[in-house]
Amino acid sequence: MSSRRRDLLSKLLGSSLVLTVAGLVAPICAFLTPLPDAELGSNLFEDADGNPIPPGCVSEGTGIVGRLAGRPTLVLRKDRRLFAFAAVCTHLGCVVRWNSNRGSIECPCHGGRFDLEGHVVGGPPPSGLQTVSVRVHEDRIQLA
Amino acid sequence: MSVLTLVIDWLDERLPLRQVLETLVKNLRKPVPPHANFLYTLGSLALFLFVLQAITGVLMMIYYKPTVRDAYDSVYFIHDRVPFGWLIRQVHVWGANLMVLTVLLHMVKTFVYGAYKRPREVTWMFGTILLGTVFGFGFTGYLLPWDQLAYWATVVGTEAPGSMPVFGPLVRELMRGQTEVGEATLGRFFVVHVAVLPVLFVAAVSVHLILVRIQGTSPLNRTDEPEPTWSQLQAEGGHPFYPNHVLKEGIVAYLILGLLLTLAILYPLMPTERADPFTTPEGIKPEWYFLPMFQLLKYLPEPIAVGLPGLVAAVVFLLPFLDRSPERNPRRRPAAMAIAAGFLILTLALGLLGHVSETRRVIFGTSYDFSAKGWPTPVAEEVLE
Ligand code: HEM
Ligand code: FES
Repeated sequence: MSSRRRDLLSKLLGSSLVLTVAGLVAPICAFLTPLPDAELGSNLFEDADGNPIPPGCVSEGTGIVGRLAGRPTLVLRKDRRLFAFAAVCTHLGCVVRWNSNRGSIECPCHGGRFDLEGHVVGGPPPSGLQTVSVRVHEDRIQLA
Repeated sequence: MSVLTLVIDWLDERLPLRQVLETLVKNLRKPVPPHANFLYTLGSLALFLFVLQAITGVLMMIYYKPTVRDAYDSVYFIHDRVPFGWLIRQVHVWGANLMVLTVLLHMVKTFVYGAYKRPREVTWMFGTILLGTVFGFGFTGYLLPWDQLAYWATVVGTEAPGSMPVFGPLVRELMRGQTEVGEATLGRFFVVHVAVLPVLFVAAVSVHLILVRIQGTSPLNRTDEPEPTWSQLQAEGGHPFYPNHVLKEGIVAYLILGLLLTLAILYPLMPTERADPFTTPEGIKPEWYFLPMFQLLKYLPEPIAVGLPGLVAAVVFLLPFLDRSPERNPRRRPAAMAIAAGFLILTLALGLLGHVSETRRVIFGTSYDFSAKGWPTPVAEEVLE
């Protein structure tokens, strides 16, 4: 066999091996990629078991964390108005809570603090909390 | 002719068994240098603890259920209902802690006696891989009971690498398997804990041990001098690895088994409350061996606080190539000893700050509240009714 033919053959063999490996690795990578988040969740404000939290449960001066559109969400009532925020702290992912004494939203992990517009007023969070607009409809809190 | 000889003869006709056995026996009899004291049993102690982890872990797998709904209850079921389940589980939990401690001490000993130097660089590198797998066991195992403390330590522990540029977000997504820590995360952590890491660990430990036995225990002379021969070792007063050193290892294994059982029986470690993804508790903490890194996150911006441990890992992995001095004897390596001591003290201090942070403690009769950063403030006297 001429050496050029041999060269060509070993190159072919080499590339088919590479292709085979790639063909095996690709589905493994695909398998490992996260699935899309289940369904986006309902547009109602719900507790962990999926039961709607009625607006009456959020009494004046308190705040509750539940799930809205699939995301942990903080809903609080102040001066008779409902406010809602994405509850996952922008720093390292802890869930924030409403501190009624101080009148601010606080993260228990590294002391991040946010005001009622979601802006950072203290601590390490790099950006503010996203506000979520909600409305009350048929005794349910829902995405506006 | 005994049955054993018959069996060996039969096998020897088919594979070079005698040759293999002879090499094995020869290497087992090779003398260990006279400076090899009890610290030289730490490696085999780690192996012993791993075997215990494997046995207790496989047993728990019969009842453990890796789902968000069932994990917590299944751990309590193992503890409360399965005969001796409490013992199996406590040995696993305490064994994990002792194993991490043992591996860390083993590493410090190897560093102090300069055993990572030529020609044992590869042994050291496989050792660091083993430390990585042990940390991996700890990180993934901690989440399995699906309790509050572990859940939130995992939220922070998987979020932090996400702040690294380029690959950070990918790493976080791969670990979590979804946006939040949830069902997908538990599934991934479980599989890594019981399937991926055990295979990796056994593979790495095999290479590590084969290298250790073939190269023999590291002497204390300079790396540019020849290693002592068998007869030189004997003349210096070195004893054979088997049975002398193995006996030492057995003694240590027994003592630690006693300690492990005592801890497991007298100080049971139980999970905190069931994980609640809507409520972050105050003062979340990871396992003690991740505390220094966790505490670092409170002082430095994330990319630095995450990058720094990564840099340390790289330096440790490549240490044999970075430290090129031919001296092994710790007395002739004052600079290396000072740097290592400084590093250890800093790490311990960070760990201690992490340990006291967000707690209230009484020190010399005064109560102090320790902040997230670990600074104390005296608690105002409370008026007693
Ligand atoms: C090699 C085989 C291993 C298997 C099959 C195994 C299996 C398991 C299982 C089923 C659990 C869940 C039950 C429970 O949490 O109580 C668990 C938990 C755990 N494992 Fe392992 N494991 C192995 C090795 C290790 C090693 C080497 C470590 C050392 C660092 C380790 C550390 C842990 C920790 C810290 C937990 C959490 C225990 C708790 O808080 O309840 N495991 N393991
Ligand atoms: S996670 Fe909220 S302040 Fe760090």
